[in-house]
Amino acid sequence: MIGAATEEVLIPDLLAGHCGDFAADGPGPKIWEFPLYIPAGSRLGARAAGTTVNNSELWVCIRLLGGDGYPPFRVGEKVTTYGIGTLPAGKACPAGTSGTDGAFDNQIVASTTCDHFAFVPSLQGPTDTTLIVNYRNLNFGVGSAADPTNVIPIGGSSQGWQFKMDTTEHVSGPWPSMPAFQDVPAGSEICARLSSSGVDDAAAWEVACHAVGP
Amino acid sequence: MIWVPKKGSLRRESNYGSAAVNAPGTQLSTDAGSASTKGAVAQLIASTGFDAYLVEVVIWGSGISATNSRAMVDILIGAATEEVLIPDLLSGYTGETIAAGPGPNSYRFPLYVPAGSRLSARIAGERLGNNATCVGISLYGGDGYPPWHPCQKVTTYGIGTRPAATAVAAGVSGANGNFVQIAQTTKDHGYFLPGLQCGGGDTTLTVKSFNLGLGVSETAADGANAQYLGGGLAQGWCYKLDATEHLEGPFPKLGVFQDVPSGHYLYARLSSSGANDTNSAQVAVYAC
Repeated sequence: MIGAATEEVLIPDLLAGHCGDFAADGPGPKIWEFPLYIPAGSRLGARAAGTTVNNSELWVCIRLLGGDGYPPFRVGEKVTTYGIGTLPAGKACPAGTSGTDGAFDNQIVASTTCDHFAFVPSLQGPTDTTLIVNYRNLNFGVGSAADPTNVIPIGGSSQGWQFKMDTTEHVSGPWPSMPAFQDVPAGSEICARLSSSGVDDAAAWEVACHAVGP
Repeated sequence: MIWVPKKGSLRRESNYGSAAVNAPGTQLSTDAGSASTKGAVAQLIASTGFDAYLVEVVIWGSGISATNSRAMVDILIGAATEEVLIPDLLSGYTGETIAAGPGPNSYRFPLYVPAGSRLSARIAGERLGNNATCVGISLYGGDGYPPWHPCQKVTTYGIGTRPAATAVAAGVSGANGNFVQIAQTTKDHGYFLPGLQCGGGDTTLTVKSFNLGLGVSETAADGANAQYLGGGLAQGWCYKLDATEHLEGPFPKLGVFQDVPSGHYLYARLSSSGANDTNSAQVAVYAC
């Protein structure tokens, strides 16, 4: 969130479920990288909702990169999040199992609400308290979930993000963590596909798509 | 003239497939006889598809429970015999994809890699004759890419007898350690990124987080007056270590952009969230 109270939401609904715990065994934290413009003098804040109610163990670190010497790449002013259901749920996406691609048949949004040029993923576990050691690869695509074979992967077919999850019920990632930069006009349908290195968990993992726009 | 950012897609090319597999990227094998000798070169990408200006390397799987696993990976460019593009990335104790514990280590560099390049990698490590380490590489570039100043090669500071780097004693329970001198720079540099691995010789590690800061001074043995690279205390990198003897990090993944002339001294400072292990963690600094 940005600004003094009452703040404006700058980046909504990062899927923060199952983030790793620095003080216990298991994977590390989740990370999101956004090409966003933050004016000097801004006040930044954060808030969370979660199934573990009244919990104060969620920690957020934010790092801003800028200044005179910083590479002047394209930056946006706001992030739109697609795929959020009833908080804190994302979009359930069944994975292809044991190293096979899932299909682009998981519609994240039927019609984007504005032009976007960069896309960042979120992934969290399902409502299942016994998870399996796995490694997942997530792709976004533009096209119809009803016609998954003709969906075009955003950034190309190798533009996937990898996440690690284990039996401590934690997940970290993604690797790499750079956004996928591609111009996608308003009104586009965004789909996701997920693959798993092993057998999937009982319930499908949840995905959200954070899209940066001007 | 008004400068206008470029538009268009940022292209990515990598040696990952589009599906999740237990060995993501390309598997590397350590030498069977010596921890200090790099193993066979493995090709990552036969011919890159576009001029790239940013490279991210992700290293998985060198660690295993209750085992010394210090390791170093080279990224090479060109046909055999290849030239070393990024030497001695600290790769010890990296997480496995198929076992509980932390994830991989990652390194990000503003490097220029011309279209048509062949990229490969090799590893030296304490787990002799072992092929559990996987390397993923992602290249970013193309017409729409940000025109920052890319470099052509990475210089590594702080390497001892491979696979050892410079031991840096951490402050415990959240306290900062002292700045430890890593090396004197031999070139002008504009970008710095650290590498961290566990100290070796200790197969029972404890859960903790590390915060690693880099400093610079004009004079040797002047850690007390070293200035943080990146301009402030906040410019540190976090890592996670746990009792499975695996290390994941850094967070964040980007290094610091700062011009440092040749002949300056680089320092590292380490802080631990808990008690230290028997042997100090080891640090290297990558500069370009």
